[in-house]
Amino acid sequence: MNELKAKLPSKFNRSVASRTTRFILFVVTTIMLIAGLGQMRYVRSIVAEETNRQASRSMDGAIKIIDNRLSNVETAVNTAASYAYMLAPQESLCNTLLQKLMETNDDIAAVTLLYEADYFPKHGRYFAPTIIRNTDGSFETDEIGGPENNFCYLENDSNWVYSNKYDGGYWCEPFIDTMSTNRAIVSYSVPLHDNSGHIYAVLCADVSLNWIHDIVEKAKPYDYSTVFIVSRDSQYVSHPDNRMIQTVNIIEQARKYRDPAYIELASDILNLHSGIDTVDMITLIDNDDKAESNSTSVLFYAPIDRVQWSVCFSIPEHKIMEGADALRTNMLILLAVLLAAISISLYYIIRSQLAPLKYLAKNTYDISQGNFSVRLPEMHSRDEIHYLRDAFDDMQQSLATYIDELQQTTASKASIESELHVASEIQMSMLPKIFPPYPDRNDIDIYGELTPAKVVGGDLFDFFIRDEKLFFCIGDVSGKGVPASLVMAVTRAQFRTIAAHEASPERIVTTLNDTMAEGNDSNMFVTLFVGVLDLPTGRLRYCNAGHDAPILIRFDQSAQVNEVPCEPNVPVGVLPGWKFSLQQTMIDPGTMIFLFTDGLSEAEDIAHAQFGLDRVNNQALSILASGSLTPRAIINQMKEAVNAFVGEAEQSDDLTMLAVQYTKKELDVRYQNRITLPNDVQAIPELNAFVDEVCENVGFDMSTTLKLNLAIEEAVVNVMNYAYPTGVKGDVDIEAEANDERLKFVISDSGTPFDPTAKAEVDTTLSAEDRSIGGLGIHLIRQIMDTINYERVDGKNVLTLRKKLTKNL
Amino acid sequence: MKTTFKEEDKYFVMYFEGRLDTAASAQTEEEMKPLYDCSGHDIILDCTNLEYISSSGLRLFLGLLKTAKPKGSHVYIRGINEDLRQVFAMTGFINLFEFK
Repeated sequence: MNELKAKLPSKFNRSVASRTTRFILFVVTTIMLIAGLGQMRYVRSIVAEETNRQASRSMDGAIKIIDNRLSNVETAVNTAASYAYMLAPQESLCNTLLQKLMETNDDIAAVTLLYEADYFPKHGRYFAPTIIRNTDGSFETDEIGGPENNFCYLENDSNWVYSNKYDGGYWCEPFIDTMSTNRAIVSYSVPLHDNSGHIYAVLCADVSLNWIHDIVEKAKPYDYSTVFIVSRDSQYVSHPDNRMIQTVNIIEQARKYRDPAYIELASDILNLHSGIDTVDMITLIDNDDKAESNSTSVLFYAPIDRVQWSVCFSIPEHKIMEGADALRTNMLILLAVLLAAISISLYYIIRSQLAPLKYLAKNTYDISQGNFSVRLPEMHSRDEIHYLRDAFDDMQQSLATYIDELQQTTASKASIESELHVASEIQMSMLPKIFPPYPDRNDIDIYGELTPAKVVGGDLFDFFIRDEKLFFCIGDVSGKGVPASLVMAVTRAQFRTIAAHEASPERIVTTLNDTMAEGNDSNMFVTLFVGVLDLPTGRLRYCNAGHDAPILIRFDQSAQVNEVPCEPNVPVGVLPGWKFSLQQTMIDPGTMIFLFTDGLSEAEDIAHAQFGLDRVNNQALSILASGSLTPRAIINQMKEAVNAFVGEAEQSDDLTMLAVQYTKKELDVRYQNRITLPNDVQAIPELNAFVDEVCENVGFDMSTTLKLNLAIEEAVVNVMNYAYPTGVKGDVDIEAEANDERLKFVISDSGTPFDPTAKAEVDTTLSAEDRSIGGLGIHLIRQIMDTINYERVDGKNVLTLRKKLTKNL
Repeated sequence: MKTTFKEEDKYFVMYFEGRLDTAASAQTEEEMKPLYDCSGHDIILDCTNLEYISSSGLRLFLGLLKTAKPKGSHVYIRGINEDLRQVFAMTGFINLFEFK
């Protein structure tokens, strides 16, 4: 397993289990968070609603209780006032009135009867009897009239006795009873009228606000909520902090903070509206819990119309949502635990499920190393992994079979290849391979090269010199490989056979075509260029059978690269009986004939662009410019250029190049002589005399002279016998010319075309019975002369015979 | 060109003198006719004074050989000089005739 791990790149080190687990974890977390958020929102809304309901219920209860008790006080006082006319006007009975009132209602902390000035002359100007309820329930009688308590005077517009002006029952603003108990108090006062309707006294009952505080404290919706009551003069009637009562003015406080929301809230409260608002606690109430005072609170407020107070519940928001927040925390913890549990179990489950894959991978790796005998792990589950294992099993068996077959195929292929290799050697041995081919000739230089695309190729080139004529050809068989190579071999052999006794290229090609086209069932064909260069004169005769036109590279005042004008004809092997046309041109000494197959011009690079004729021409020009124009140089340079162009691309076709350079140098003529004879053998002695004279002049000995006589006579007699039909008179011109190297005889006539060199060689080994009478003459000429050369020029047969001056037979 | 026919012992002998070129071959062919009737005789072609021979002359020799051989007659060549021997060698005639 470790070697497998080492084999795998590090990026594969993460397992499917961890990746899948992470993915599922992400999805589950997202879903749960979204669901949880929705749930929390819902829970919070329910809590808020419940809080509202609870707060308004509490609010209703508190207001009802307070209102009830105040109503009771009001009723008691009003009742007392209704019968006061019986008691109040008499000094001795006024205390009875007060006492009865005190007894009627336990909430009344004190009652006072304020008489108008000088009502009882005996008591002077001010008289205000009062009864105060002590803490133990006993009553204490007192009289508080006096200049020091000027608030008791009916003439004064004091808060306490405002009812005499109001002329009805009246709840005063709460105040602190500074006179006696120092308790927060609120008073209800009723004016007493005499029979004439004049107000002679005010009955006033004090109610301690302590119980209000107790009531609202009990009525508040939650323990942690704060409750306070604001009176119509913007003072606190009830507040958790007693010091605030009657000391803090909330509207002034609001203005002090310059908070518009707060001012609006304060106005709402003072205008006796009811509502809910969210406030910043620090501004509204100086809460006892300082730590929480800077949090926001929800404020519920509603009026007690009877006394024009507002009851306010303040509930810290965080307290409202305490439960919900705790629930959220719990949920998150639960979620985390759940996810952790899911992840861990998922990871191990997937890992255990995928464990067989690891073994499968290891075994497959072994198989890939060529070990086909590895047994794949057995599996009992019926799942995809099992199918995978079975598939690998099949693959393993197929691979083993395939490899076996491959080995057999490879073996047989190897034997074919070795045969092909031999075939390639045979094919290559057909091509000229010794360069320079004619080291002792100074008039011709040749270099050729064939690079097959496959082991064997369908290109060919060949050349040989016969009778001072260079026969050369280049060809390209359709297709590649073995079939092409067979046709190539046949073509080359045919070329040699036909050209051995046929010097005219168009007839060579025509004959070749007829031979090849006959029974050409496989429809193979050959593009072929055949050239015959007459070495003494530089006359090039050629015939093109559908091949690329060769180019002529020469320096004639300027560098020149020209295509040899070619009639395309048809390729060899296509149309039997096709008459191929002959073309000819003169080749100046120094000129290079460069022949190639389309493997050069159509060589392709990776992008399938072709090398092209322009590049061929440019290369030719550049080598011409470099001054080293030799056949080997131009082919090497062309090969380098095409290789550089092709680059990495595979060689698409056989590549063949043949370069023929005509390098003849003219030597000074030292001796010249001529004679014209009729076509009559009786003129032969004249010829003999002429030859003797020539031989003497160039310094040949008797023996050589005799043989030259023989050769020239044979040649001339040939013309006399064959060039002119019987009975037709004609002339034979014999020209002799010598330079420092050789003696040349040129025999020309105007007769019918007759090429003596095309005759088959006689067999000199036959017995007398089998020897034919003819053919001896041309045999003798070949034996005696160094070269023999026939040309048909301007309607004349021209036979040129040469003999080196230094050579003696 | 001049030829002389002689019967010497059992041999028919013909002496050639001068140049046996193409021009002379027609006349020589006529003069060689007696040699064709050679039953019971061997033939000697005396070339001691033969200066030159062309293929026409060689053809005459070969024609004689082809006629004489079936009759059981041998054809010998005598006294041939080195240059002409080389011509015989070039043509392979040296293998056909017997030399004395």
